[in-house]
Amino acid sequence: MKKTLILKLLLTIVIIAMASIYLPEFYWKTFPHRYYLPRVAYSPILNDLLITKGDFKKARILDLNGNSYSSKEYEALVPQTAFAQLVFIGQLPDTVNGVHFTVPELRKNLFRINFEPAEIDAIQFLMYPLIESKPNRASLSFPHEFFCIKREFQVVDSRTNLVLDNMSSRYSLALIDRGFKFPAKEMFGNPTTRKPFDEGYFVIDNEDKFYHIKRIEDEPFVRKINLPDGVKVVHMVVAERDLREFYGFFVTEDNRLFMIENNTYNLVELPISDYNYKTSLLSINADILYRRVIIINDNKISVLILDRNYKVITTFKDSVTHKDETTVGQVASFIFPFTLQFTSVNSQYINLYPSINGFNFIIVNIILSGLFLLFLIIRKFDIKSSILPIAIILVTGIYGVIAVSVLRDFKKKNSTGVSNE
Amino acid sequence: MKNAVVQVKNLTHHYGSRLIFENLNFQINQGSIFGLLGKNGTGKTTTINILNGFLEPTSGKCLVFDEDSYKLSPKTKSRVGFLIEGHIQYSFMNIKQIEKYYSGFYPNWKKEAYWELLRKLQVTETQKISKMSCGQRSQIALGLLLAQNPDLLILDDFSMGLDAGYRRLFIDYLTDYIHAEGKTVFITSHIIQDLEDLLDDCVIIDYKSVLMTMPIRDFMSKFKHFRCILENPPSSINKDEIIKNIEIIKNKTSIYTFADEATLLQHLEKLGLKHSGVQQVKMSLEDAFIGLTGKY
Amino acid sequence: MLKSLIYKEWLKVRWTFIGLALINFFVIISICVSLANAFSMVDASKIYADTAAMQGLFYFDFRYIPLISGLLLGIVQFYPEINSSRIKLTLHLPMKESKSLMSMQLFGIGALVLIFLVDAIILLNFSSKYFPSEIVDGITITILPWILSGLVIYIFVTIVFVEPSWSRRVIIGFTGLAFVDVYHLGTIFGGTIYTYSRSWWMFVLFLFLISPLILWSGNNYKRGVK
Repeated sequence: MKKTLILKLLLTIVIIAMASIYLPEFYWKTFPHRYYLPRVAYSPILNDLLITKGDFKKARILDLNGNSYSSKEYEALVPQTAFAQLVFIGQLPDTVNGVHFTVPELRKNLFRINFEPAEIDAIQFLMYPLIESKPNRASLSFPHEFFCIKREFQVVDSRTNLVLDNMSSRYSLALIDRGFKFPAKEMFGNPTTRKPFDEGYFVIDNEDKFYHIKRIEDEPFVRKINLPDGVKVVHMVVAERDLREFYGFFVTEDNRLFMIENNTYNLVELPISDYNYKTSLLSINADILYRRVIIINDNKISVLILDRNYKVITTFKDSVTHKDETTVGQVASFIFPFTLQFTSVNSQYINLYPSINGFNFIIVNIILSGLFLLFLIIRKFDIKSSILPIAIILVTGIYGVIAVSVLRDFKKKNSTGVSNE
Repeated sequence: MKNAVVQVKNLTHHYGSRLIFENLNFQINQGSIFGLLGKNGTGKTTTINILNGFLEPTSGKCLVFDEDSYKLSPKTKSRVGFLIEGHIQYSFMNIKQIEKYYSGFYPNWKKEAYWELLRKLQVTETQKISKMSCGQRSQIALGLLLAQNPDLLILDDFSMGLDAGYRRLFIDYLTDYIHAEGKTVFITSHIIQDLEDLLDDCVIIDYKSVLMTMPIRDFMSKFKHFRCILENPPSSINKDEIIKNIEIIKNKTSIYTFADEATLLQHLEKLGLKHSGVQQVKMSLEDAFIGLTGKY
Repeated sequence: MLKSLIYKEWLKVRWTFIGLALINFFVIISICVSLANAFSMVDASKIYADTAAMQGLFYFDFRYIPLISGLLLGIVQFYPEINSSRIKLTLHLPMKESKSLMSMQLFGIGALVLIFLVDAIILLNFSSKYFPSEIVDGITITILPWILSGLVIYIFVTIVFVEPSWSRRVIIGFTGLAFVDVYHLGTIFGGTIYTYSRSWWMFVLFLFLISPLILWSGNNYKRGVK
């Protein structure tokens, strides 16, 4: 008796788990929802923000005073990013705000750096290529040596699959010399040769200290980066750009954003708010005049416009209707008591990601268990012995209905047997 | 009271809301051959399934060697031999393999019993069961049962699909086995004529009800068939305590009863039926069965 | 008794087992050959870089092999049992019903594990000739869920086959498909790559949760639920 109860509960759990994964997934695939957040630009001509609202079919471009602009007018107002089109129609200004506009300079200054949660909680590379940063050739070449930093700095030759002991110990010693504590917690870099130059890797050691490591003329280069007190690096985007203004940007455990200046290793903090590295999308959009930092949390956008010295010019915040507040979302919150997922948009790791969305579902659960009770009464089943299925439906709602319909564990009154249908 | 091998008490079964039978009661004593007779769809296989623990009855009890048939212990199961309707066995095995397979389960396995039977068949040791005729398969199933040497044999419609020769062969071996040492047999069959000399006791069931339970000898001697001619026969006569079944064709009437002739005649007069030419007719078991259950 | 039961299971599945083993080893060998070819033709560092990032570039051919193996073995082993209700013969044996059902299922799991273990040993040994242990570990995490999914589908086939009610079979069948899908989230072509490296143990554990459910459908069979 006890054994069958365990089996029934086991089956109930399996069915409810699968239903709570695939029913909501199927629902949201049928009624997809995407946010059309405003796109924000800063015009050096108006010295003001320009907001593009609506989806791509019927976008409206407005300034903060409510004046609207055509897309052609808009392009003339943001020459620092729309320069390609302006060159094409021959209307690129020579200078804007005292900055000389030439296409190569504009292009060199135009880039974007993204911080996405799934890239922060991401699969680590298993081995990294140890790229020579000062090659005696015109371009970078892909090395045969791959490394990882575990108990020591270990270099493997990909041609022979053998550990290069000499090289490994040279790099290990260089690290130990600078106070590095093995193993490395995380490494950041661009393990590719499709970049103008190589700045190697930025590494968090086992004591959360931050190091810059590269291979220069086949010798280890190690530099410890001084972090402000209490700052723990969570993720860094290394950007080897011809601009050579910085090595890259990093975010910290307390959701701050820093830039590491090229050569000096000075840290510059960008005064962001509303950021959570586990869930927010952050992008740094650079052009010759400004740095736009855009932070998106689901239906909310927060924009920071900085000048080239990383001083705040202005900020902007806006939001659209949240997914859960739409009709489709409201219906979902009533019918799905909870949702189970094995994958998350915020991580590359497969794991259990349960979520619960309000308590509207209680109403539907009560209705469903009421209907079930009615069914039991009409079919003259014994209510007392059906307490468990009623409880299952009450707690797990629509998922429980599926489980109970499989278990079919209802008894007729005054009988030892089981209904067999 | 004799040793009861099987006790069925107030057994009732429903499939959903459909009643199969209600309050079935019988007992099978050690050493007897017990028949469960009934037309198709009256619950013969349902009873067999309950007896073998393949069905939980809606209510009532079914004990096999004093254990609840739904929860038979392995030890008791080894004392019960079971022939599935249609002589089903593992058809992917050959004759040798299947003997080897079953011998591992039963410590008192009588290998010779199996091979004695199988030698009579025109098959080689490595012939797959799936490539045999129905009659040959019945011999394998029987051979395995005889080798298992169970105390209780449950045979679900052994005559199904067998021609007269194999049916007779089956019965011969069965009789031999039963007379050996206090074995008990439970049989269902839809071909009654085979069972006449075989059965000791029987239950006859009809849709939803039990028609009678008694030793077969009593049944054959007490259950009678009288033919007579009724003057002005009414369109229908109700069955009652005395008239178990009645068939009227024009004015020729067949009456089936457990009562003796005098009682019957008295009864007919009470009902105001004028009759002539009363005459008892000898019946086989099959005749009696049909007499009791009706032709429809 | 157990020996006899295993004998019966072996008679049922032997040709399928041998066939599946051959298919598995054929796929494994062909992966090894293409790996060797790749190392002889392409610069090793390129393969390192790709494999380090993708965790198992050469092994996609293997992805559905365990799944197919589990499905086929389950069908071949359990179809003869439910055909003409032969399972009654098994349940009537002088053994506890739960023991005979579990033994049958464990036999199948054992047969599959045997094949998959040989697969994995060949594949990982061969890989470690070319790749350092870090990459081989990554490959292991990539192929492990595929292998487990073969066992999952096998277990669900056994549950569905023993279960007597068709409506239940359908729902449990769908649950099984959903369950199998959970083991194939690793690589979505053209999308994000996900890894099981933090949760693989959970997916091993799931096997132990679903395996005994065959006793539940066995119980339904015994109760005569139709």
